[in-house]
Amino acid sequence: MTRREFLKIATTTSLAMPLVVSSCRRPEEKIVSLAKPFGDVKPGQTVYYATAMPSRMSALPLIVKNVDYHPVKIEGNPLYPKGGGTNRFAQASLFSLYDPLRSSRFLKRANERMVDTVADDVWRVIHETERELENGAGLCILTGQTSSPSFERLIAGIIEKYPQTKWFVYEPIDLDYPNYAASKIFGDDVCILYDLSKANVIVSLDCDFLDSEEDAIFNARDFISTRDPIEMSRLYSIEAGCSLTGAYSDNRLAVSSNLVQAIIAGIAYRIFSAKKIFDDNVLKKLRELSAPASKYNNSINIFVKDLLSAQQSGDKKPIVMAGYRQPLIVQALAIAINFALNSVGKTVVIKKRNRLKPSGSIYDLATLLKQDAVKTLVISGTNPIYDAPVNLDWKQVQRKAQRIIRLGLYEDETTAESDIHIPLKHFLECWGDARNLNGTLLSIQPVIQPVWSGVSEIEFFSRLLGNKDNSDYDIARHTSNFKNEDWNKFVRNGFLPNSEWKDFSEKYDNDAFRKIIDSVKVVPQSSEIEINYYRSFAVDDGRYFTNVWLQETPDPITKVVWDNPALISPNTAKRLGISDNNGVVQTVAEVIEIQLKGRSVRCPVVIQPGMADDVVALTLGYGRRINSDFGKMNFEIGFNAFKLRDGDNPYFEIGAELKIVNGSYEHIARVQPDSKNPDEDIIIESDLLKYKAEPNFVKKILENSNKKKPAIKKGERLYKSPELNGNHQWGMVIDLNKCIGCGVCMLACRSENNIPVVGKEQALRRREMDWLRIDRYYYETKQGVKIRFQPVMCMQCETAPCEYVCPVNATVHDSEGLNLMVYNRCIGARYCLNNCPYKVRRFNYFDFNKRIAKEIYNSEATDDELISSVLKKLIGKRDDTAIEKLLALVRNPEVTVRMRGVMEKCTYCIQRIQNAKADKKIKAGDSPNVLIEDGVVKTACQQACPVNAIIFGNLSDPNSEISKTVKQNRNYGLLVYLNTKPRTTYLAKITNQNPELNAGLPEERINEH
Amino acid sequence: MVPSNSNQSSVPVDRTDKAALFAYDDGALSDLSVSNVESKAQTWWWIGFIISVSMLLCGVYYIANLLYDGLGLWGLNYPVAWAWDITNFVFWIGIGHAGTLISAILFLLRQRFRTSINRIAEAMTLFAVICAFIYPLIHTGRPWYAWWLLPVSNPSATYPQFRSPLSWDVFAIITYFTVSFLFFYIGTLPDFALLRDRSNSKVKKYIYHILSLGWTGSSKQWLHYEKTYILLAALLTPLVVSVHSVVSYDFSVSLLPIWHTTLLPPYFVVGAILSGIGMILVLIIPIRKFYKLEGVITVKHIESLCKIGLAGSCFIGFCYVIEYFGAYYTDDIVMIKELKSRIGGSYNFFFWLTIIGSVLAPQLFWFKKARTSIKTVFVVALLINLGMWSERFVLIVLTLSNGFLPSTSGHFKPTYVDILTFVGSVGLFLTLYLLFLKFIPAIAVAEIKGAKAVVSGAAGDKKIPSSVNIKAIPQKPYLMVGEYDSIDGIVAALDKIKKTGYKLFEVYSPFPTGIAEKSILSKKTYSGWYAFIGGLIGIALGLFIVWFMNAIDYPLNVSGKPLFNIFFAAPVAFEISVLFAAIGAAAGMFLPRNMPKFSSPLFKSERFSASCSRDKYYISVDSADEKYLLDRTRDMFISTGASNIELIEK
Repeated sequence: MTRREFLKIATTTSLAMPLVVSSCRRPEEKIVSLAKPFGDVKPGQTVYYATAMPSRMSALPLIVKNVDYHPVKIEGNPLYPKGGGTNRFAQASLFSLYDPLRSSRFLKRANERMVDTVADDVWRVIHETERELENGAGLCILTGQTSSPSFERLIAGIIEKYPQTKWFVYEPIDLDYPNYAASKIFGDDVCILYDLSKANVIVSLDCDFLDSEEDAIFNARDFISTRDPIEMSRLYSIEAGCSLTGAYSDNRLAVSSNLVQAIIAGIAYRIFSAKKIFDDNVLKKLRELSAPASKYNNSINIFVKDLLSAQQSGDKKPIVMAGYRQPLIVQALAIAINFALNSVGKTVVIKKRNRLKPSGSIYDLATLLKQDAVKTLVISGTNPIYDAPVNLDWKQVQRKAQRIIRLGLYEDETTAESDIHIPLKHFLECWGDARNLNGTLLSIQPVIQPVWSGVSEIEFFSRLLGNKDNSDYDIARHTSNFKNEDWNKFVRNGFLPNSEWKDFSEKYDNDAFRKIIDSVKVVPQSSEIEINYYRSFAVDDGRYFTNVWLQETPDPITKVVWDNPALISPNTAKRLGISDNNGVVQTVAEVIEIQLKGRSVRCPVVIQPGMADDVVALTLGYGRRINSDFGKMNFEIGFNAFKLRDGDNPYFEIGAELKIVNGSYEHIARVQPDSKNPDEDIIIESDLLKYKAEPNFVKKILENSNKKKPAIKKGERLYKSPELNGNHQWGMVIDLNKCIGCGVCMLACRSENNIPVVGKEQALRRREMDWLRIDRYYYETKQGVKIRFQPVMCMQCETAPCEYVCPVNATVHDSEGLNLMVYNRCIGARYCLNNCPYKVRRFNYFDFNKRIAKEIYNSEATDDELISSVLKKLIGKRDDTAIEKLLALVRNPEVTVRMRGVMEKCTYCIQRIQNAKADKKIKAGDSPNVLIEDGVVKTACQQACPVNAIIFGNLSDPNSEISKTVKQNRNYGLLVYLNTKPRTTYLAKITNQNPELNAGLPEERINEH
Repeated sequence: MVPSNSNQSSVPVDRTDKAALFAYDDGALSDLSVSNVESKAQTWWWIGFIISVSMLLCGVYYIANLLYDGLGLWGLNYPVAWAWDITNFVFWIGIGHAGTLISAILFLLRQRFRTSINRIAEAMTLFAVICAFIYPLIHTGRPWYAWWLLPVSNPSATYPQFRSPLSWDVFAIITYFTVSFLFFYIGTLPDFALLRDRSNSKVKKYIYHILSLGWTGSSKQWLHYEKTYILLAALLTPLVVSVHSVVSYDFSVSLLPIWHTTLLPPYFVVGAILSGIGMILVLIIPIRKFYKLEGVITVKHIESLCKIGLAGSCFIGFCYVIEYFGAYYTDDIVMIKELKSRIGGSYNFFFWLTIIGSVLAPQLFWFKKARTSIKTVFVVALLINLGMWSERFVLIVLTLSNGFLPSTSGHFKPTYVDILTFVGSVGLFLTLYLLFLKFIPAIAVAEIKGAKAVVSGAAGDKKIPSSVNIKAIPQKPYLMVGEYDSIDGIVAALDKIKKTGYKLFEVYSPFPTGIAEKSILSKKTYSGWYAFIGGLIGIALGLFIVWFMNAIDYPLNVSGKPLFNIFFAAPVAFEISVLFAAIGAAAGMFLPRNMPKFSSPLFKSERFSASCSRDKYYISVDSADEKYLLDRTRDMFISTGASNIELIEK
């Protein structure tokens, strides 16, 4: 071999090495694809796998799109009953998989510091621990909630082998609380499920069943199916903050959270009296309990009347729902009312669960720790140092354990206080199993070889049991005990049909109920300020804190990104003297100090229209600092509301004092100003009764609008337009009556179209990049503030105002009616953005796709008390290119990554359209049949939408769903008076308000010009 | 040659420029007019220059940053995608317009007071256009692709899209700059010649020699010069209107409220004139003081400018009223909302600054006392500039920050880079301006002499020649040159020359006398034809470009608009037509082989070189002329009062 040849070969091989190493890894165990058997995957070919995303007590069935052996998009599993949509967290979990901040190394404590170590070293320690265990005395396991049968089997196995082992469960936000309450009443482990598709009247008491409750997307899907404006259900919402359920509801009552108890007592009192179910003692107590809500007696009477009359109607039944935030008494009353209304068994289903019970809560563990009875403490998943109740003083308590083994996805607050840290695998890297809330068994299969080293929870517990070599695959298969065929079918489909929990048939226990009622004290009326803690729309309880996709998706109500300001109502703000700067300048917020029983936090405050007065809403999960060997979030994001939160009153507590910190301001990035009372033709809305009387109200509103109409009459043209003569004519309709404003479409769009994350600093400058945004409007009515949502993306106007102003032909029309954006031709003059009346175009002011590595992960951060001195030293090597390479994996290979200086926007997921066209052409061969069937192409937003609010298809096919939808009388286009001829149109919203509640309160807009 | 300042101090500042100009003879006027070039740079110049250059460098640094990092360094955001960049672009372009107005339109209107200030105004135009031109380039997201705006096939095989006013802008600015430059340069040729003749240093002489393209001041040159000059002035006049109208199309062609009105083109043109008048006042007031030009740029001039400013300000005020009236009359609620937010919204400071600066403050000019008080005028002029800047700012930023949908409203806050790039463009303007003051006469010397000559009625005196410089008669053909102190001598000599029947003779004068050109020489110049043909070619080419590029070679469906239509082809065709016509007019000056011509026998004469471009008049008669006889010709010169006679070898 000559020197030349050698060099040639060496260069080629070294060039190929990264490819070979990085992209050709394939899971070792056999995973089964949804459509085709494994083995014939070609580079660039798309393969779908079914899996499930575990949540607290449930899991969401998903399918994952894989290209070149790595997942690039997540969708809901359409095979699953009621399936198909996803929620925000599922869409964003793809980013979590590639999150540069994820824990990637084993750590152990040496000389008061956490240092790098190798896995074997850790396993040695674990085996020593295992050997030391005699009967398990001194071994405590603290985990989050889980629905995994394998997990339960292993824990049960550990407890069997070492009977003194204790297993504790801690969730800072316990969504399972209503089931816990039900279990208390029924004396058995039960869970309550709602069948909202059969509901006619729903009273939601602080229950955000459309968004933040467990398995909300199934509830949302059922509920929205009852909202066709023919025979609509009616939703009353009683809540303190502004939830999506409250925003959607027909009649909303804003009261402080502690009054909910009185209101449900009032409802119960009236219903029980009418039905004569309980004896006078109970009724008397209920009456006492309802006293603080006497102000709302009128409303309560109307709720009751509606509930009672709804109960009479045939197969549909009313429901009273209590949210997880409410105490036992509210849960108990809700169950009792549902029984009284004969809804149980129809719209309310109670199932008997069959699960392993934990030994206790974190309080019991704290007691054990204080007694120095814990030798080894295993903390898996949950992050108590950050989120344990303040009255536990957990940091001190935890130190009492002799050895703390920590399993975590991140090197977080708890890691810093542990002895051993083991990185966990992401669920997309694991085998496993889970159960849905209704008990359906779901399979979890990996779609990628672990990005980092790590173990899954079940692998760890299996090791603790002494099974050294068991992989999670073995464990999951062993748990299921399926034969090969059944197993293949199970993992292929992602779920086991007909595996739900059995119905709970026993009658409920009046005595238990009575006991609960007796134990409750009447809440005295108080004018003190109530603190409310809410689950974050973006980061949940802090677990998604590092997920920049979620951080950058605006809160649906406040439209704040990268932050969690305290929220107060305008009246409260006025009372406290906080200025209303929510107008156009949205970035500056005053800082307040909240004092609650000796604890205090400082946080910026934002005025939230529609909230109950004298209530402060705090969002949990912020104010964290995450470190990894890649760097850290470079600025402080939000404040930690857990510092204020006491375990006895986990969701609301009265008696807070608010003080303005003079002269102190913080920057809050909000992507939309508080837009109040928009013109009538923007979100067109009517009430059911009015709609029935005047079905063509949309037309009327548009005709009567005093906005400038095009000077040219209909049918007349100044000039002849080039024909749109493509085979398909694409169009989209967004049903505002179905949209709940959850924002999953935004995340789906971000994931599908490689929309860059800009970070807080740029968001403050209003440079967010979302192609799809959800406009939120407040309407000030005499009944209070209404909140409405309107998703807005490119309207694909036939006479697009953006096109004719582009000097370089970078945006033009195609023959199928798409408003194309040719990135390669764009020079970035931004005229198109200026001239777009919908403002749906986004401009890359920087190279955001590359900037993220520098902006978010690699800059110097200031000191913060949150990071312990030990953790600070952990900041390892920093490498921009490594992060860039990692983040490149999350991108959809079918969509261009835009560089700086380029305008970008939605094109109805044109890559999906083109793929479908190509497929169809291949299928058609020589035949002229190249029309894509209706429903084959779905846009990313449409596919992710849990309530099917987005309809997309071919307008030139008269039988397509879209063609039928645009003919509906509720159809209208936005700003059509500008003669833009948008292809995306809307269906007007119809509410079903109770006319009695509106009596005497004519619903007029308060015009504020 | 150091100008004597003795007679300037004695010149009383008179209210009429006529009287003021009479205080100087042509020589003194020449000395005075070029004093800014010849005098050693004064301290104030150096201070100004250092400051300007630092500002420029600062701008260069931040523009480099901008190119390297991205547009995000500016405060632009999602709803407000144009802010200071386009504000400054319109601001500078607007300033440019007053320069053209003064030099071209007032020239056509025979407003002779313009001659004292037209050079300053023209220079201002050029530099302002340069400053303006920077912004569209650097404000694009990918400036390295800005050439795709030119009418050539770009790498993706498409062409510019001519329905967009941005592509009209390209032609408008290029044309405007080119024509203004030609106008300025041609106008400066005689003054370059003057500087060449006065320079002592060889290098300077050489440079000015090249720059003056061999200007001798012959009647033939003056004839072509005048024709071309008036043609360019005529071409510039519609250009002034068109360029700012095209700039206003950037807004009025869009569909945004307030932008989308037919009011904008006149509104922009008038605004431009007002801001330009403001700027020129700001510039000339210190210059006349520093260079002691109070006698040339008199209070009368300033008053006249103030009057134009007043008219502009009234007109712009009227436009503001019409804007509101239009909104209320059409009942366009989006527009009404927006106009209301001007008054009380978050940018109301700038709105009121506009009203005060560009409408209220100039109203002081109704009063003679205010008009003639230099300090007042200076302050008002500054206010006009501020007012006009904020007018553009409000027009652009407020409209963009309030969208059709309330959800898309936003707010613009400039970053320090925004401010420093603007500072940089001011630095560039001032640097160029100071360099101009150092190297080019600030006063159009030849023109001002011409203006004075006309008013003086050619009152010459008859003198016995001081010297008859005939030493040896050259062997080769030669010219006999007679030198005169006044036009009268030339008139008399021309009479005799005509009578005698000389054919090979030429008249040289420091300014176009009009006499020689009219009475003796053929009036024929082809500039007009060249311009006309150029204009025709331009129109055809413009229409062809738009038609071929957008309808034939790469037809694309753009907003459902027709592939070709005269409406969107017209601006491009117009601009190209003016450009070609102007180039044609200039060619009319150069093509008849009289320029550039760097050698002339007359340059051999020291006397000629020293004084012809200054204050003396010359007639040359070629010895090859049929009627030439040494004695006869000499006698003719002597009898008409030539102060010197010379024989110059050809």
